[in-house]
Amino acid sequence: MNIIWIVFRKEWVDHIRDQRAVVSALANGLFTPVFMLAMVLLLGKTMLSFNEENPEPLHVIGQQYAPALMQYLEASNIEIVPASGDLAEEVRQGKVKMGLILTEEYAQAFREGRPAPVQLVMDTSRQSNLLVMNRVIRLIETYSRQVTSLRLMARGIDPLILMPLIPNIQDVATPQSSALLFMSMLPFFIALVVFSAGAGVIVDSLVGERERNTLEPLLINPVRRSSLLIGKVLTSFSFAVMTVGLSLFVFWLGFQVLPIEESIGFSMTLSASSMFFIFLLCIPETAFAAVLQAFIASFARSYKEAQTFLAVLPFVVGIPSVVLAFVPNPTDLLQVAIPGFGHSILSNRLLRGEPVTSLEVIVLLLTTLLFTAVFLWLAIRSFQRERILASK
Amino acid sequence: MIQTEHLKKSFGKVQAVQDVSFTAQDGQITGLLGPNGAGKTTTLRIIYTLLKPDSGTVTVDGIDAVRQPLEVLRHLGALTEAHGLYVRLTARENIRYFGRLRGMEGEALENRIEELCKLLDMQEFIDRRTEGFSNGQRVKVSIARALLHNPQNILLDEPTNGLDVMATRAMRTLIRRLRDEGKCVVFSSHIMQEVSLLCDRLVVIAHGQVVLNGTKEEIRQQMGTENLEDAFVAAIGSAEGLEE
Ligand SMILES: Nc1ncnc2c1ncn2[C@@H]1O[C@H](COP(=O)(O)OP(=O)(O)OP(=O)(O)O)[C@@H](O)[C@H]1O
Ligand SMILES: [Mg+2]
Repeated sequence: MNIIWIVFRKEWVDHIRDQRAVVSALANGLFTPVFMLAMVLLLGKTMLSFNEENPEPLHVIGQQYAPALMQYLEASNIEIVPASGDLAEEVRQGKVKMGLILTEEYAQAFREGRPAPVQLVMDTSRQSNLLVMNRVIRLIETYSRQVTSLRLMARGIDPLILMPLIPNIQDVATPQSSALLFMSMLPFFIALVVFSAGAGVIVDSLVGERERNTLEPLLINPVRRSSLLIGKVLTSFSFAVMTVGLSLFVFWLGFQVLPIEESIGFSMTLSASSMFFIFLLCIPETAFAAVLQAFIASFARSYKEAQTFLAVLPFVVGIPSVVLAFVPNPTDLLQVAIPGFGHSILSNRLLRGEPVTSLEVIVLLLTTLLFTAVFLWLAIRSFQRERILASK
Repeated sequence: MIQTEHLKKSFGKVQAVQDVSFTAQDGQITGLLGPNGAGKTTTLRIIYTLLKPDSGTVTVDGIDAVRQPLEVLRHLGALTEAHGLYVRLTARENIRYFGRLRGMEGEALENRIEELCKLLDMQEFIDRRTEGFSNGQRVKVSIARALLHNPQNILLDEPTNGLDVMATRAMRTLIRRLRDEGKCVVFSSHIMQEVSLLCDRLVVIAHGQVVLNGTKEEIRQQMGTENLEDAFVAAIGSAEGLEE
């Protein structure tokens, strides 16, 4: 125990003095939340541009035949733009989002109470125009229904007879859960930080020790190799926990300080308590990451090789978490029990404000500790090999 | 006292040590002499327990190196072939770290560091970070690290390698001093003059095998030659790697 403490203290001093490494590790930890916040703000802006407050242009030929319809559309925030020429061609080329063609026949039919033809020109293959197209169609249908009602009333018939059913839509998507569509990438980014934060420290303290020829003198001291390794792993682990904490804190802080609500148009709460709980969940995960990194680094033949291995690791572990943004959140205890993936599932739910059972937390904690113990044992075994001294 | 018997060690196809047996007594300087690649470093590494012999035995003060490596390490101090230091720590911090790992602490440790600092003439740089230290400065720090716990058995792998004339003389004085204190000193070198100058006992290794073993006098008689140099050349089969 004493030896572990001695090694831990020395490694900390040694790494803190490596200012470039410390700064770059912290910058890495900060990059993630800053990137996430920037994404939230940017996506929010883009969503605002779809807001119905902005008038949408509609190019019309023959607007003089339907003054009432034009008035109705304009009242509904559609900008009527007089058009001429080949409207179909312009829509095809994407110069015009949508066109409306009215003829004299419209005016005549409308007056006589016959179905009046309205020709809409659109390109449904253009996804970006879908919103406008749907809106204009909906408006014309509504207008048509209003006219029907008026005509029925004129004939002494209750217009409600045409509405045997009234669909009453209840949208359960809270404003929060649509914002969480991109928020659900957060567990993936947390996983990236957890599995990369300690890499620099452990590579320096295992592979760097060998490359600077201090490993051999170190091993001549009458101490167990397991103590040396545990001291080193504890250093990278504690460093990583701090980086993860900082990263989460900055993310939370950004939500309190930045005008997130203004920018995305609805409020989104990120409570300090759920953020703290996510951080607590990250601690055992970071321990697992630290021993896994030590195990992998102990096999690297050089500094470069170790860095390459450990740079890939966060993505290998994190990729399954990306999927969580697009599928319903798993509740299968077996999936929750996978270290790394399980952490992403639970933090995803915490962010959504969904419940996390204590059974799930305990199971995940136990499997993580088990995996940590197994990989620690493997790392110690690897560190005890004779070949740890040789670079090949 | 260090005893090795029929040590064997190979790395894949390379037979680094094929048959090495010798005894290094307390109060004596034992020199391992051999050309590059002869197996000196490998032999020393087996003694300080970082390599396990494929066969053969090593005992240090009667303790078996394979079965009780930690106990053996408590009885020896070693200067390794490469003199690596933690570059972001000062020389003093480097030495202190190793002292702590050996269970030393507090005043006793600080006093001992101060003592070695004077002995090895390190006052000028002991509180500097070791980044950019000259070879001689690194050797001194490494030696201090190895002698910190005042070990009975001292292994030095080419201790004068890369040192200037003054530093080499100081190193030789130190080695003699350790001998006079009754320590068992083993040092390796590929420089014949150095070995014959310092050693009470010589072990000449070539191609992983001990080809000569004895005092200078014994070796001269054994080979029937006028001087040591001829004896070495006769034993090794060439003068290669033995000149300064
Ligand atoms: N870890 C290793 N892996 C493979 N071969 C090795 C290893 N260590 C030593 N050898 C080989 O074993 C042989 C003996 O090496 P050793 O380092 O013991 O020689 P040495 O006598 O110390 O030489 P030098 O005077 O150059 O230091 C050499 O051929 C060397 O290449
Ligand atoms: Mg050597």
